[in-house]
Amino acid sequence: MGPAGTGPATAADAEVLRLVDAEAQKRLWSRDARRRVAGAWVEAGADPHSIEGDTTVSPEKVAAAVAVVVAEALQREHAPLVPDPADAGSEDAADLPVGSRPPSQLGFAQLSDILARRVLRGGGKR
Amino acid sequence: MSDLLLPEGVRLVHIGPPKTATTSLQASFHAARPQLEEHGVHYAGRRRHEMLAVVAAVGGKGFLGGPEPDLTEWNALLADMEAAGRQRVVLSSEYLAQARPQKVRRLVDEIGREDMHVVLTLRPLDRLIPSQWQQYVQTGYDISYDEWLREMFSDEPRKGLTPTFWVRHRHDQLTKRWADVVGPENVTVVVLDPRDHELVLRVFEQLVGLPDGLLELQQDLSNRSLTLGEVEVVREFNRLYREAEWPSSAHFHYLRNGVINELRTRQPGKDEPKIVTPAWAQDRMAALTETMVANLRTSGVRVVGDLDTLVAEPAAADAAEQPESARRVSAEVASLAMVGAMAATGDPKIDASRRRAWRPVDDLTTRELAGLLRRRLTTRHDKG
Repeated sequence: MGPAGTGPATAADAEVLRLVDAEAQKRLWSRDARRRVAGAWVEAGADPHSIEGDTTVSPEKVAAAVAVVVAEALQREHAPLVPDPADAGSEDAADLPVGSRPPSQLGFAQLSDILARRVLRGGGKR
Repeated sequence: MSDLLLPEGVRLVHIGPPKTATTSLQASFHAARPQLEEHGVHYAGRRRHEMLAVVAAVGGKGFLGGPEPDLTEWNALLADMEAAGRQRVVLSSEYLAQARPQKVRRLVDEIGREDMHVVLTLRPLDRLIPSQWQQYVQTGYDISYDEWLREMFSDEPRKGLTPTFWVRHRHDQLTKRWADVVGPENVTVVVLDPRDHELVLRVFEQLVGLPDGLLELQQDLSNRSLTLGEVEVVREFNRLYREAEWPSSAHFHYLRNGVINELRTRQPGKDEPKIVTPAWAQDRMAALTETMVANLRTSGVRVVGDLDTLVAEPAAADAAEQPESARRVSAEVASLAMVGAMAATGDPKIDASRRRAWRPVDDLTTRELAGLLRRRLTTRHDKG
């Protein structure tokens, strides 16, 4: 059973809801947020092309569920409609200065260069 | 010294076209900015790709609902290039490929005809065409692949449907459009090698006189093409978005920056269905690419690589149609799409782990940085 009594109807629903909730918990989302995202999946209705016992989903069902999330957000006017360059997922992330980017976005040469500069500058005390 | 080396003060203008490893090349140059300057090379602009500046210059449109192109940014880019003096300057934007003849002349005049050298990177049309379609879908189109191909190969394609496609991808005509203005001796075509993704970096190093190996491929999934299932989710969402008459900013925010960016955090499995070109279109491309290569061969431009590899094979006699089930997505894809949309609502401010993950490299202690490098080195060594 998913959050807030959103019982899965098919094997695919169960698997999607499990994965969504696991990710939401990992990100420390509130119970309300977890309930809403699971609710959107249920509200989108049954997969029109569901296959019994199969855990794959039709794109129509996924898009419908995403549309429920968007419709609700637009109604609540929560969204900041300007991309945030400090968001790792935004397209602008790669445009930030090297020092402002997380190590995961930098290559070996860039990291070596930063380390070398630090060592030369201050003896690596930092 | 390499035969490819261009003279000091050259303005190397890389015009793509799209889907020819442009992002990868731009990321490599952007990452190496400080080292480039030490070798008398300037990578124009401040960002990885000065997209909005170039889009403004060619008179194009930005992303649906995204920031508007602005000519002041183009003027700033020109000033930045001029300030580089006798350094070799590299400007790279695939959007330059959609400039029509009058715009090409103006761009060349603005950048400076006498020092200009145009570079095109090319890969086989049949390899890039599925990728180009999925890119169009990401920008809001909801047309299917088969229907889009029929329109593109029709004598009278639907007006307003991806109007710049052939402007970008008749590669012989694109080459001629620029060669007519700067002279064929000032144009280089680099044919990409699908087996060696670093080759293009080595060629660009030689063009501007950088040491071998200075440009590095950047590990980045953020520009990967979507799989068939993923792009079908986006296409279906585009249909719903249009029906609902939502503002274009919602498309940019929830879909591009929400759903698509979240999907791109995963590495698709090798067995996931790809976008397959139908046999009739493959045959059309085989004939077309033969003509394109013949025209390139007689164009008088310099060619690096093997033009023959650009000719598409006709469809195999036993080519099967893709089953409808290939469009279906895994539960993982479905969950990432949901999470991406929800995260973009800005409502789960409790999204703390993502915020924590965004720890700039400047905030790492030297000891942490050294440890990280040691681990990367070990991983490299193990892989090697």
